[in-house]
Parts: sequence; C-alpha cells; structure tokens
Amino acid sequence: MTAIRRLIIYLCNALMAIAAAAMILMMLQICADAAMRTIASSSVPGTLEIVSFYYMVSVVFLPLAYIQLHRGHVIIELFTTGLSVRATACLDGLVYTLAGLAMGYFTFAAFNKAIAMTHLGEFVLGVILVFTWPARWLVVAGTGLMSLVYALSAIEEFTRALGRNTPSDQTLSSEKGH
Amino acid sequence: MSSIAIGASGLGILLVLLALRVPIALALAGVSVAGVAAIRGPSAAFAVLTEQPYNFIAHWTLSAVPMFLLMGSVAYNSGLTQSLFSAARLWLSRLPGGLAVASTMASAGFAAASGSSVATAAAMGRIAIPEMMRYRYDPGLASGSVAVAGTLGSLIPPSILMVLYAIFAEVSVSQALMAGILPGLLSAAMFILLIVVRCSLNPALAPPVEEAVTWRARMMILLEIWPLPLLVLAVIGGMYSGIFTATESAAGGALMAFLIAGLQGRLTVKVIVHSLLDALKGTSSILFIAMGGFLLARFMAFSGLPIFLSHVVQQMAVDPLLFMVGISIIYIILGMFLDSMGIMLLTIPIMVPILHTLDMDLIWFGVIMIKYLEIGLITPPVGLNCFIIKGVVGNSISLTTIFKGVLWFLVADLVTLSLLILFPQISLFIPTIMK
Repeated sequence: MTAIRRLIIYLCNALMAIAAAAMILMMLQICADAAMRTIASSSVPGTLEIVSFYYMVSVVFLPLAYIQLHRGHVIIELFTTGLSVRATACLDGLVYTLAGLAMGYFTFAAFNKAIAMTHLGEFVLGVILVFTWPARWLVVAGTGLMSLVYALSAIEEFTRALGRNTPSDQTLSSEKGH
Repeated sequence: MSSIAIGASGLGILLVLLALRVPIALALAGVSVAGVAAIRGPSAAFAVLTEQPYNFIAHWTLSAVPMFLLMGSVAYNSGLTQSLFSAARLWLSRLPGGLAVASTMASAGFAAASGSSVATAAAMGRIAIPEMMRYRYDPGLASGSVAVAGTLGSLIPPSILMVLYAIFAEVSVSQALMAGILPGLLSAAMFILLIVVRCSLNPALAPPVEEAVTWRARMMILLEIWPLPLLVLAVIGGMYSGIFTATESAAGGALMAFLIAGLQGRLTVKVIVHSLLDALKGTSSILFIAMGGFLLARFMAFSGLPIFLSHVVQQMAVDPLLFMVGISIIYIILGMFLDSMGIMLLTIPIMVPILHTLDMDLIWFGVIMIKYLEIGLITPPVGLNCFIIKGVVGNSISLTTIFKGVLWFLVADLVTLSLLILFPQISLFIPTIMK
C-alpha cells in the first residue's frame, strides 16, 4: 500500500512538473507572438493552436490529481460541520468512491476519444499544420491519475472512519511540523 | 417526466450533492451528464462527456485565467505587493481610522495585481490586522475592514470571476474587465468614507497613530512600490487600447512580474516554484469547476428550463427594476451558503436568456452579479473572506466579532449596489469609450 501511495505521489509530482513547464512556455509564446505582431506585423506560427490544445489542456488536466492528493478541490463544508470526525470520514469515503468511479468513467470516455483521434491523426490547420491528437492523451493522463487518487483517498477515509491512522495523517502532521 | 422537470430536479439534486461534501466540479459535471442521459439517452450523454470538457478547456480566451493567476502569484511571492500597506500607511495614517483606510487602499492596489478576493484578503490580513491591533483599533473594525476590502479583488481588474463570466455570457473579456474598474473604485471609496465617518464620530474605535512621518519617508516608500503601478497600468492600458487581447495582456503582465522580480534580485528558485505551484493549483481547480459549469449549461439548454423561465418572465411583463430586486434577494440568499464561482456557474445559463428577453446589458449585469458574489463572501454563515481572516488572526479575534465588524460595510455595499443598478453608466462608461 505504501509503495502504491509513493508511486502515485511520484506521478502526481511528475505531471505537475510538466504542467509547470507548459505554464512558462504558454507565457513566453503568447508574449513572443504579441510582440511579433505589434513590432513586425508577423506572428509565431501556430500560437493559437499550441496554446489552446497543448498548454491549456496541460495546465488544467495535469494538476487535478496533485490537487486531490492535497485535498485541494473545493467542497462546501457548512452543512456537515456537526458530524463527528469518523462520520465525516465515512461520508468522504463514500463521496470519494463515487468520485473515483465518475472520474474513471470520464477517463474511459477520454481514452476512447484519444484512441480514435490517434488513429485518425487529428490535426488543425491554421497558419501551419498542428497535430493535436497527442493532447487527447494529456486528458487521459490527468483524469486517469485523478481516479487513482480518489480510490486512494477513499481507502484512507474509510480507514480513518474505522478509527485508524492513515499514511496521509502522518504526511499532513509532518508537513505541519516543517 | 418532462425535460423541464428533469432540468429543475437536476438543480435540486445538485444542491443536495453540494451539501454532502461532493467536490463542486464533480457535482456540476455528474448531475449534468446524468441529466443529459435522462433527456437524450446514455449515448448522447457519453458523447457530451467525450467532446465538451476538452473543447471547453482547449480554448484561447480561457488562457487569460492561468496568465492572470501567474501574474498575481509572482507579484505576491516575490514580495512586490508587500510594501503596499506600509506605503498607504505613511500617506494615510493621519486620517480618522487611518490604518483601516490604508488597508483598504492597499487592498485596492493588491486587487489590481491579483484576480482573487480570497487572495487579497489573505495577503492584507497578515500585514494590516496585526498593525491595527497594535494601535488598539476596535477588533471588529480591524478585521472587518480587511475582510471587506478583500472583495475588491474580483471587481478591480484583473478578475478571474469576470473573465469566466464574460466567457459564459459570451461578451468581450476585455470590456467586461474594464467595466469593473469604476465599480471597484466606487466600492473602495464607500468603504473609506464609512471608516472615516465612523471613526470621526467615535474616535475610540481607532486611536490616532502618533508618529512623525517625514515627507522624505513618504517619497522613499514610493520608490519601493513603483513597479506595481507600472505593471497594473501596462496590463490595463494594453487591454484598454485594444492593442492586446485580455490573454496577451495577462501573459505580458506575468512576464513583467517575473522581470521586475528578477531586476530587484528577488527571483529565487523558491519564489519561482511557489508562484508556479500557486498558479497551477488555482488554474486547475478553478477551470475544472468552470468545466462542470459548462456541462451544466449544456444540460440546462437540453432541458429547455432557461427558455421556459424567460417566457414566464416575459408573460408576467416584469418591470426590470422589480426583476433586479428579485434577483438581489436570490443572489444574497445563495451567497450566504454557496461558493461564489458555484453560484455564478449555476445561474448564468438560466439568467442569460432572461436578460436577453428583458433587453438588459450583459456586461452591466456581470458587474452587478459579481458585486453580489462579493457580498456573499462576507455574509454569514459561509463568508469565505471572514473565514480567511479568522485563519490569519487565530484566537485573538472571534468569528462573531469579524462578522459583526463586516455588518457596517454591508450597508456601504448596499448603497454601492443601488448606485450601480440605478446608474448603469458607472459600469458601462469605460467599456463604451474603449477602442
């Protein structure tokens, strides 16, 4: 279990690093394109396509799993504040199980599309031809890993509901200690 | 069950799921896909899920969101916004309630670099509240003024909420952002007026700050903060002149923030990593929720509920002003319980057809809606900005004191809102003179 957890954490960080690179490249390419247009009435070919299909898809889908790993997705807590810690853990376990299934279904849909588009060799034709089918796999990577993190979170919450300590408790308390 | 009934029950189920701690993005998306399946069958729902999320995210205009978030996180993490309060304080501390006035001004400045209200409240809370407490300001005034001033973050451009509103309501992002400037400044002026009047009438609220400030010190601090106004003017100027799109201005702002931090020798590896991490977490969680909202808009369109409601409004020949009063009540109630982006995404698909029917300006309505969402951030029981302030001050000020401190400012906000509703020109003046 710890090994799986460590692997998932490693993958989350790896996807985060790719997303960070995409964020920087997006900034630089948009600026370069705007500068070229203003100064030289020219452009960086394919900026619109690359920003939309590669950078945007990366910065949105790749961090999803990392955010869930740190319980960063927004939820509304008001109506469940009266619940005990264990009841909350039980509810969260259920929610995460369903969320994992839902994200699994989403991944399945994205996977189907990615396979189809890879076979077709999907592209868009603007100023230059940009192949866009690889971007479909970024979605599969992001949502797929997020489903796994939900499964992991569900197990941890159910363990907590049973009154045991979970690895994420230990990480959290060690993070607080820093 | 008719499709309109499916649409209405979908909204009900959505609220239940939100109350049960389901992540907002998944609740929006899940209900929408299930709703489309109920109306059009499972294969249509599967098709929606394979196509729509990707098409929504792979979108040029939307890239203004990560770029604005990056600009704000670099400005914050590199300490560019740190001296704002010190500067405002040196210039304004002689006014009645001077430190509270200074924190409002500093928040307005921070808001011009950051697109988020919560980020503004968190940043200013850490700096300004301890200072006010040191000078024995009334705890309610000290905490309330910062919680409220944080709400300027989503009106004064850049504003993430405004970018998303513009995309969903299909209006120009640049114009919508510009529309927030005067209402944002008006809100700030109202807060300041309220602080000055209250503290003049009751000086015990804010004991005067006895310190000799030289003009030299005042000028020196301006030297420290000058890059920030430059950054803000460049970003706003780029959009206003029409030379750059909102996305390009945002990317340019982010690059400038990096360059300024680099020139000032503040761009360490730690700053870069933290800035990227903050910007990515914000981008992904915000746009994932927006994606859920986009699916909800599809579901609503399939159900026919928004069109049905706009026909009802049309048949009742509702007076637009009365309509706005009704809307106000709905938004204030929703704002007490739900997250601001959730409310926006939940209501835009229903509101837009009605607004078209009533021939109302969508940009103006966007400003009003965001003002309501901002009020939702400070009203109990769920007032996110107040929670943020509570997190910053720890045990020294109770949550009840913070909410009580905010009450006075709510009055100021209601006056501002009435002015914005009665005089749409306040919002629309700048967008109409834009090139």
